Amino acid sequence: MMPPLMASLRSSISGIRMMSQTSVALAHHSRLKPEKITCMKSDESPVFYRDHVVDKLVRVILKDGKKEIARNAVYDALEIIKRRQYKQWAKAKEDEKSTIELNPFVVANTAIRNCRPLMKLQGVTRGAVTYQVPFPIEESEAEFRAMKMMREVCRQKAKHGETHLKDILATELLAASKNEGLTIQAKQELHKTCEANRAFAHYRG
Amino acid sequence: MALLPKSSVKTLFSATKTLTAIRPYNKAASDDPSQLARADLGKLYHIPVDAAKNLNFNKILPSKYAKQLNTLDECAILCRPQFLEVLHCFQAVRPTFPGIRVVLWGRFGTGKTLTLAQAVHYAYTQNWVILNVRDVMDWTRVVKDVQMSTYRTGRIDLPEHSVNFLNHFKQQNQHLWKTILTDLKTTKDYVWTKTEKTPIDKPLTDIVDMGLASPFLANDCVGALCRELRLHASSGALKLLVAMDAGNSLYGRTVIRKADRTFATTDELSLVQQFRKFFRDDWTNGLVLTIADKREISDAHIDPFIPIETQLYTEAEAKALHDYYKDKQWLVTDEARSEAGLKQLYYLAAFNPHHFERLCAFN
Repeated sequence: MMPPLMASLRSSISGIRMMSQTSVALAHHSRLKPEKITCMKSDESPVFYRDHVVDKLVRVILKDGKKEIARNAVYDALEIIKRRQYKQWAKAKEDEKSTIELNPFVVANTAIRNCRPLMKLQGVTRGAVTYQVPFPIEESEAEFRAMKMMREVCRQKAKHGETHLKDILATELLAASKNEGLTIQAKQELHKTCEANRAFAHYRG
Repeated sequence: MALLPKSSVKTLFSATKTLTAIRPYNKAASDDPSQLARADLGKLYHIPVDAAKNLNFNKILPSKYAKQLNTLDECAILCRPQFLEVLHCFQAVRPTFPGIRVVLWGRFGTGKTLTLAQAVHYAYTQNWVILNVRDVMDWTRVVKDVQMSTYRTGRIDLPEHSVNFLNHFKQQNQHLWKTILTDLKTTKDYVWTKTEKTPIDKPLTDIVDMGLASPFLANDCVGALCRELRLHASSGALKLLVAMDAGNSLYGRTVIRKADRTFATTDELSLVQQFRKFFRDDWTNGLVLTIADKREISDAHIDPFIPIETQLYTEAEAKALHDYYKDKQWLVTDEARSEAGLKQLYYLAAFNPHHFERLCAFN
């Protein structure tokens, strides 16, 4: 039975392979590769409300490098989602209360998951004709495309009616979490086009 | 002295422990602000929602807190030291003292405007007449319509702002409209124009109604109202609270342009001159509560006054608010509701009340 101090020294000397599984999961990625130590990005600080989908949405909405504006817009949208759900929850009857999702992070995650396309269209040129060919898509790219579709929809909406991004984004996220709204429509149209162009799939190579 | 048997002492002790465990958040002993004392520091008390509506809290509270009022359908405010100091100043007001001047000052987000709103509610419960200016910076920085004064040459009237003020005054003093404000009469003839006049011995409500009916007279009516209220307060017929948010703007700068395209000074605005008179020693039985707003560059001459500083949260105050949010189900994520989350909230918000509320808003 080794004394605890010697055991910890042993583990730090022999490196990563001695670390327990939980400490690997909780450690920052720069600590897992000690040969390449990088500085932490501003949106990776270990706050309790860190969420992968929300942070990625902030990066997608980002314009001209104005991170504070993008971050405030997304967090204000989350607040608006929470307020609207809270008002509904307060009015609802006891048995309906458990069906209303109050957590805005869960709503945002559900919304982006629902908007994820299953395929993407990529142009393939064969003999001076560019065909829109359906390709398979990675999960991270699907997530990005979902967020990009939502961003374009929000920017279109900003041209008429609701002017603040936080309000538009909140409406879109709430609708998408229920499989409604313009972003879901855009995804379904993309799926339809992919289905229509399935004959070009053998151009994938 | 008969000692209680050990068994009953034990049950008493465990009963109080379970009671404090059951009680969801730190509630003050009473919701009546006049009953608040040092024992209630760090505890929450409720302002009834209908009182908040009558006092137009939607307009005078900071916008984020007003939203909270609407969402939670409740007005729960922490009892903090600055409010108890303001209460002591209220209790010092009497017909033998000139108007007591209190200035709330402090860092951004520490509760200056909220304390002013609490003071307005206290005055409402004690049947004081409330003269509440929502934001003096509205008068100096938001240019609506401008009119040259007929009462004094060179002065500038602000008709729309005056009408808004008179509406706000009427709304906040509805509970006294048919009683004090109708019983008290004008002390002199007011000749507004060749055709309009309010004779002597008419109820004060006539001045307000005249201003609301004719916007071009509204500014003069505000001046007359202020004068009458000062006279009646000095005679002991009413107690007056003058609550001004950003009161230091009375000595600041304006963006109102005169005919020759230069900026007007605050000395040239009639509304400003009318409210500056409350900082004189020639009237009694009133409290003038202002906020020194950091947004304004000013050189205010209102000595002597009582400065009250608004501070950042203590750990106990922040915890009380955290418990309240948990109880109302406003904090939804598990991390935010945990003790570790609370510790993070302390430092992420840097104990600043505004930032604490903003962080709890989306978690």
